Amino acid sequence: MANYLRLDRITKSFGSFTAVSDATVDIAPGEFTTLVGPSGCGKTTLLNIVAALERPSSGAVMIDGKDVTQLSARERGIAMVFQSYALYPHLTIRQNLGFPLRVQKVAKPERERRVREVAELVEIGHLLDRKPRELSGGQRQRVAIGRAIIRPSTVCLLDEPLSNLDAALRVRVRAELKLLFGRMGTTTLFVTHDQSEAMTMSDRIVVMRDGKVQQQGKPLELYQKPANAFVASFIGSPQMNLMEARVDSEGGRALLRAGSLTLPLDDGQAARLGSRRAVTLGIRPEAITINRVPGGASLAARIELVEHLGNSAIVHYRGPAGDQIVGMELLDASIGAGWSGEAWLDPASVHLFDTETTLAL
Amino acid sequence: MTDTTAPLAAPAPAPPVRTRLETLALYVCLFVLLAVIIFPIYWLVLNSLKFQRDFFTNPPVYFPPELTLGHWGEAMGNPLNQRYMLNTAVVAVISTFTATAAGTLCAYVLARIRMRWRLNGILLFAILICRLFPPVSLAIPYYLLMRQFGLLDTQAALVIAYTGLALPFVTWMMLTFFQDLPKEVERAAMVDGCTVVQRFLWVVLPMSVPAMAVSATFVFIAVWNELLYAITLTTLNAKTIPVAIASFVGDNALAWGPMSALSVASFVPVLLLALAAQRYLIRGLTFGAVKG
Ligand SMILES: Nc1ncnc2c1ncn2[C@@H]1O[C@H](COP(=O)(O)OP(=O)(O)O)[C@@H](O)[C@H]1O
Ligand SMILES: [Mg+2]
Repeated sequence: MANYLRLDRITKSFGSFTAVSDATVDIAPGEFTTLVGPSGCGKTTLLNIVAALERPSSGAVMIDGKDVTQLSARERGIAMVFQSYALYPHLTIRQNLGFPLRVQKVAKPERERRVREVAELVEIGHLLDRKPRELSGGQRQRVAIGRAIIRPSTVCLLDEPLSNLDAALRVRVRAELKLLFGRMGTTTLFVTHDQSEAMTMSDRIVVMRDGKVQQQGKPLELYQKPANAFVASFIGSPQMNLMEARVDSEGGRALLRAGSLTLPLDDGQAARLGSRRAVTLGIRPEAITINRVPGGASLAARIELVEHLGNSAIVHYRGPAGDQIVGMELLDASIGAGWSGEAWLDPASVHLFDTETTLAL
Repeated sequence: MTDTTAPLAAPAPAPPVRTRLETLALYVCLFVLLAVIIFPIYWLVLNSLKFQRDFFTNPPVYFPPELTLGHWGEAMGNPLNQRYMLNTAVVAVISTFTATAAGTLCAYVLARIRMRWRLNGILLFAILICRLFPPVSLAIPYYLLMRQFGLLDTQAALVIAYTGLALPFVTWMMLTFFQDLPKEVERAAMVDGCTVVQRFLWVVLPMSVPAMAVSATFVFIAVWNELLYAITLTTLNAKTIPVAIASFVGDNALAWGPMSALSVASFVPVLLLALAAQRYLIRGLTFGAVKG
């Protein structure tokens, strides 16, 4: 029963402002896809277009290959969880959950049975006779999800459903949600501005910025092969180190110089540089360590700050040229601020981006 | 032990104690304010209970030794006054209901449905214009209109006039309310499959009850006490209580007692309504719809 969703070259303008620009997204049946990007990049707008709450300025929404752009929310059979949850304040939780069925004129006993079932599923069985205002944020969120899944839907849309929860609850709920939607097998489009949510929950991620789709793919694909510098810095925590590097050569071998760092390149990397004299260099923090890397490059650095995470630590280095670079260590290393020495990295692990277009090389 | 164990934070300073003088001044102010507000009402109630002989004494008797229910009997026992009371109730209830229902619908359409040719803005402006006219300027046209339709001195004439007058007010109030109503709840209703009508009846209307109750209360009070149109459009059969009260003045002597009794009696329903609507005036139902 899972459905195939395609957004075909969607553009949405509000007056002269373009909120979504030429977005094409394909979501396979039953896939859990996450739309991620900074606040204001047009995620909610795109979701509203899928839900028929906004009409696109151009482009088409297709479900199972059928163009549904002109159909209403009702006809598209879409379910949605709103960022503010948007529960009906005057109805009890029981009535809130049963509302979509009431609209579809489902008979009362059947409705009651489904409400019970879904209430158990999202663990709000004991709250059925309360009003939304008597519930905590986490409980309201469960009601909103329950209301979205109580009837079969073609696509389920979730707009930052976790953003109103506290940090501990968020981590727990995101695992629950992933399991729940995995079991239901509904095609799901999930929106978040939090890259860690996107990485942990998704089958596929669509990264957006300023209304434009930057890259789509599996979480690890995005992490390992970011299409541009924005995706590289947005996905992953702590952020990738990005620095401007000059292309140089020494003894017939291509080199990159960025601040205190001198990095020999292999032939493949040198070929990708082409005739560029400057390039943006990206290095993941976990690629930089105080342990010697065989065949690696090193830079002289002083540790300025160590952020302990318990199972790992984020290490802030400063090079002799005053440049900052962030590395990461597993915690068995006894490290502390003030340490001076060599930090190591494997030249094969670096990312190269065109300085002008920011595209990956 | 030395100073190192000093408490981390000093105890919070005690709240400033209000001096006796300040307290006294406060109570005097309150008393004066209350007297200004309460005295006319007290005097009215007292007048309705005084014996005839106590009305024109000099100096006036503020606390008469004896009271009577005679004026009340006279005012309320009069079948004409009973009829006027009924007229007022019928007219007020029907026009309040009609104006609130129609005004709410108007406001919802203006707030949520974008019409062609900038009709929303034009209609809104037209409504505002209606509210700018002094009511007296419309009384004569209404009189002519009702005479044309043969409706003079009927309850229908008053209902039509009052509904027409209250409609812009209700529309304006409800429009503000709808514009502030979080859109996401209605969007949820759309996603859940509601048609426009279902959305309005099942979601918007229940959420609007408090705002409608407040508008209705204002309309009801205004209509209940309305004198100008009632005097213009009615002569005998459809007369309302304010007209009856006003007509005590004039003829021969002024019947202070019955007039006061009737005034107090007509005040009671309004007071009850205000008390009943108080709940809505204080509490908003939309709380809890979105993250609160
Ligand atoms: N109805 C609207 N009218 C004008 N601008 C809008 C409207 N809705 C959204 N926008 C603008 O579009 C941009 C994207 O908004 P939104 O999709 O809500 O972002 P996100 O959900 O990614 O935070 C924002 O800059 C916002 O101000
Ligand atoms: Mg948003």
